Amino acid sequence: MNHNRNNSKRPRILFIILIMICLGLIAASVSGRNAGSSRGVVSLILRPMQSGINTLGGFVSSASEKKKTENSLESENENLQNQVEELQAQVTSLQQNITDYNELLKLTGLTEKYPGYKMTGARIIGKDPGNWYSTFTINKGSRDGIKKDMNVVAEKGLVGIVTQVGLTSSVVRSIIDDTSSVSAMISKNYDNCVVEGDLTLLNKGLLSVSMISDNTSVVDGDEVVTSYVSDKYLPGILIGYISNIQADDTKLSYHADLTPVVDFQHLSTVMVIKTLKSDLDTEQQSTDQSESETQG
Amino acid sequence: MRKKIYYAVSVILLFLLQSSLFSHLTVADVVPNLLIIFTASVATIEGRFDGCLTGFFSGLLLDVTYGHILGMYALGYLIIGYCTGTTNRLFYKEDITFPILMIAASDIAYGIYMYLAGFLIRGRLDFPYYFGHIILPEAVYTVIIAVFLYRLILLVLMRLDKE
Repeated sequence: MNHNRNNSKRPRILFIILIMICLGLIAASVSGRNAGSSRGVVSLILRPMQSGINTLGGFVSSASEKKKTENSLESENENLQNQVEELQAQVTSLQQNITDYNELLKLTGLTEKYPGYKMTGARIIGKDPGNWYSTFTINKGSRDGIKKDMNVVAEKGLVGIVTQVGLTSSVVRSIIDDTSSVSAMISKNYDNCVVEGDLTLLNKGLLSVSMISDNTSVVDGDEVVTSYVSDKYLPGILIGYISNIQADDTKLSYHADLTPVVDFQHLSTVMVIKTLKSDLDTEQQSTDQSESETQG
Repeated sequence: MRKKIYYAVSVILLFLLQSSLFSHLTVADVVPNLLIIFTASVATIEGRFDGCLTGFFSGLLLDVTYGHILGMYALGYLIIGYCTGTTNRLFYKEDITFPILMIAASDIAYGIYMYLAGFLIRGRLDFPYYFGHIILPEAVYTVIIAVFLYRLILLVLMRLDKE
């Protein structure tokens, strides 16, 4: 074996050189140097393979799921029949509520917010390969007009935010990620709070809400949406419902759990909102300006 | 040279499996760490030099695709590749117990590294929770996969040595 020559020296030198490279990279990325281009190239190569294998994975898991569901279908059917009757009664009462709600929305002007955004659909083609973070890859990138900090939603509510963009794929950090924190508000009284991902709550399917101000009227089941003061998230996107409200040790604020409306376990397609919060702010400013000009 | 190509192909393939296929096959909400298996296996079979290389490039691949801070994964995998590589002379290649133990130890060390580098510095202090719910289950799942994967890696490496 030619490896035996100098075997005590060579690996050590390599080890030290590579450690230096690592530390250099860490220092560079902590200091904010952009590593976008190298990421773009790698993701461009990996994307087709990733989406292929992911289809296989989806097939495997759906096949195993199918078997499981067949067994439980019969008993479920019975239960569901009963539920249908119950729900039909509820629907009628809810429809009444919706008409009321729509009228209220018209009053506050909130309706214009959601449909006004340009959205594009994307498929999830890969997930963070470890167990510590909840990020995933989608099959759209800068070629499809995706930019960093665009908000990602599913049918019901907020999913996350785009953190890296490649040419044909991008990485999304979901709100259940431990490093995620979203500036939010309680929709009924506009109380500000912060919604944070927490790995210790993740397997219960919950997020944590903190910084709810002291004299608040918040109760279990209240709706939490993204706030107006956030600099990355668009206002008014539904996040989830509050539960288990507790006072902080300082008694100056409250924290609570939050059940997200999105089912992160079974997410396969998402929508990316192409409107950026920063664009929205500049737009707002320009309209404000023109208004003040006409007034003046 | 052929070995280097084998390393590169394996790392990419295992990465793709881990990020795509195995995210559908979670057990107790964890996925096994295939890249740690590969790094630790190569390091125990071939020594520190090859362990360093595979570890560094496995980590770098994770960094450029999913990393929060570029170089963080690379550093962790590199250290694991080097450390497991030092045990290269202590055992017979055909004996599976020792390498499997090394893989388990690597995965736990990697878990602790991830906790220290990504969670403790952000003030997440509940280490017993993370150990019991993420590090340990991941290690168990990884070891189960490793029993099969290690033999495969060894088989290919021995064939490459012969030629």
